[in-house]
Amino acid sequence: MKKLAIAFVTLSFLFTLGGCKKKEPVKVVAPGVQAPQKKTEEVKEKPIVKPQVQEENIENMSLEEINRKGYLHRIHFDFDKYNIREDQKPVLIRNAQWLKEHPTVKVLIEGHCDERGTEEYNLALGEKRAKAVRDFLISMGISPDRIKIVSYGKSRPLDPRHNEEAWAKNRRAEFVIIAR
Amino acid sequence: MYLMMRRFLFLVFAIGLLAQQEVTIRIKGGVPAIRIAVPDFITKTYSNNGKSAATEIEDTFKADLSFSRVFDPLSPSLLSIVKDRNPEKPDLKAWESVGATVLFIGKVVEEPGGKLRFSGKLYDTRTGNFIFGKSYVGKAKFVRLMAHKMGDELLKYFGQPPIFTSKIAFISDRDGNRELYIMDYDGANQIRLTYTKAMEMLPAWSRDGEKIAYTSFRRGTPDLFVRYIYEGRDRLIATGGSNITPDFSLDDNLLLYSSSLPGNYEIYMYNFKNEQRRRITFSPASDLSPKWSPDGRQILFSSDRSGYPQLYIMDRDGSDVRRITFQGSYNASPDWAPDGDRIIYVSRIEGKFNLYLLFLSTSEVIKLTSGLSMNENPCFSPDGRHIVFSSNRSGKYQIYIMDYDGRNLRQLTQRGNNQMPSWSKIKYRR
Repeated sequence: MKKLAIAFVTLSFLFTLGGCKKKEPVKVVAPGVQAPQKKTEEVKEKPIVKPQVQEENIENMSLEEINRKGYLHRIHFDFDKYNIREDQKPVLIRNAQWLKEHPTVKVLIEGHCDERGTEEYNLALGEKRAKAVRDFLISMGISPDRIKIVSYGKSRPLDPRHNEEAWAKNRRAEFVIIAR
Repeated sequence: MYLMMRRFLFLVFAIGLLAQQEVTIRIKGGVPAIRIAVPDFITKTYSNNGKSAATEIEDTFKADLSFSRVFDPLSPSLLSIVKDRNPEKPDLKAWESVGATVLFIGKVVEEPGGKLRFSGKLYDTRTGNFIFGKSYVGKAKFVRLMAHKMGDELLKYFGQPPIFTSKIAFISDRDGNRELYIMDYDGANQIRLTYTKAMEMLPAWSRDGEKIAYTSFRRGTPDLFVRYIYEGRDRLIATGGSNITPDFSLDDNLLLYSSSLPGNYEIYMYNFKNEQRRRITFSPASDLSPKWSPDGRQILFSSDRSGYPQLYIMDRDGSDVRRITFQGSYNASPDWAPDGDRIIYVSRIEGKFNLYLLFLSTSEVIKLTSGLSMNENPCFSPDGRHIVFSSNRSGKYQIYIMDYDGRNLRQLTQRGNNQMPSWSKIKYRR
């Protein structure tokens, strides 16, 4: 938690400096215009902006704000499958890390499917996907009582189109923070 | 072991063979259609409202007969041959000569106060006998019901279930999110029943036509409710896990449904009288969509215990489970016809769903829909002659009805996505 805060402060600092550099051209005086000598000399000393960071504390944020920030990332599945894909595991590991750093947070895992299943079997498949994610988080040390699951089947597609690209997007597990 | 292996190989071979052929036989209609003559109604109206109401009664009544597949109404050109239109003493011989076996004389009268009276007389053209007379009185907004009731009387006279007053429950997102609706069987009078702003799905009618079991996400998870539609109240039936695909027993006392409470979907039976529930299936697979057999002794359901969804039948206590579908690798959403022999279901082939009809007595399978769209959640009409289902063939999901042989396709809904239809049941014995 502390490390993350330090890292955040450092990053913010660097970013602020970078932002300052960009402002330099404003001070350049156009040729032919007689500028007061004094001012051009002043800019030789680059002013330093006082580093300012805001403490990001999810305890001060509403659940809606927290979810809008998107700390937890969705993962995707293969057609008709509910096992966690190898390429999706790093995403879940990051999610698990974040949950460990915020031990009071409770999360709802939503299982979703593409349209190529019946309503009923997609509800079942979505539930299996949500459970697979839950089991993975539990194996990463997240307490089961912090995790709820729900399946929406194919009722809430991210992409309403009827093609492979849309289907791949829609086969997913979403994370909704329900308590902080 | 050797025997089992041989059996297994044979099965694989048989499935391979069956999968190759697509049967496209048309079944014969149940009863020969009754040739009925319905000459233009006699109307006595005094207002524009009365006039349009009279037209609506006549149109609705005629549409019912044409839809039924029980009646075969005479065409206008045949009707025009008979010149003698004395409503009090019809020339039955003349009607018989143009092919009518029965004659219906309809009359609509606007009564003081704006009510309408719809009376009808039915004659047997061969014997010359007057069969029956019926009369209904109602406000202009109930004229369709009056027409449907008259049609039902005709069906009952000929020993057929009265389906014209039946209704269809469905789910629509026309107002933003999925809510529960009902409508007449012909798509008229669409009424919204729930206002949860959550999500409702997979409704099923009770046999008495006064209750609808359905799944609602109003508490966050898919819980099972029963809506008492004429009381406007809900009763929570099952919560914990997901609770879906309900089906009422013949006496409305036992509700079958699927619940994922034990970790995967299993079939349960809920008893309304003692509020007890009993688990019927025990398998690590998803057992879904239980449906009572028409005699109430067996349960049809889908299960992916073989790897992918297939249809099974078991006894009502969960014993004697046998698989009934062997074509295709994804068969689900079944409904059992009132005749007990036919089962309609959805089969997925290359990601598209089409409707298939299985005859239990012969194991024959008939494909009812085709094309690249989705056709889902089929449900038989109470007389088994029609099928309601949802399809996205026109873009959004809409509700369609068609006859048992795939003929006479009609779209019933227009606005938003409309899905998961359930046709009401009828308690009727000949």
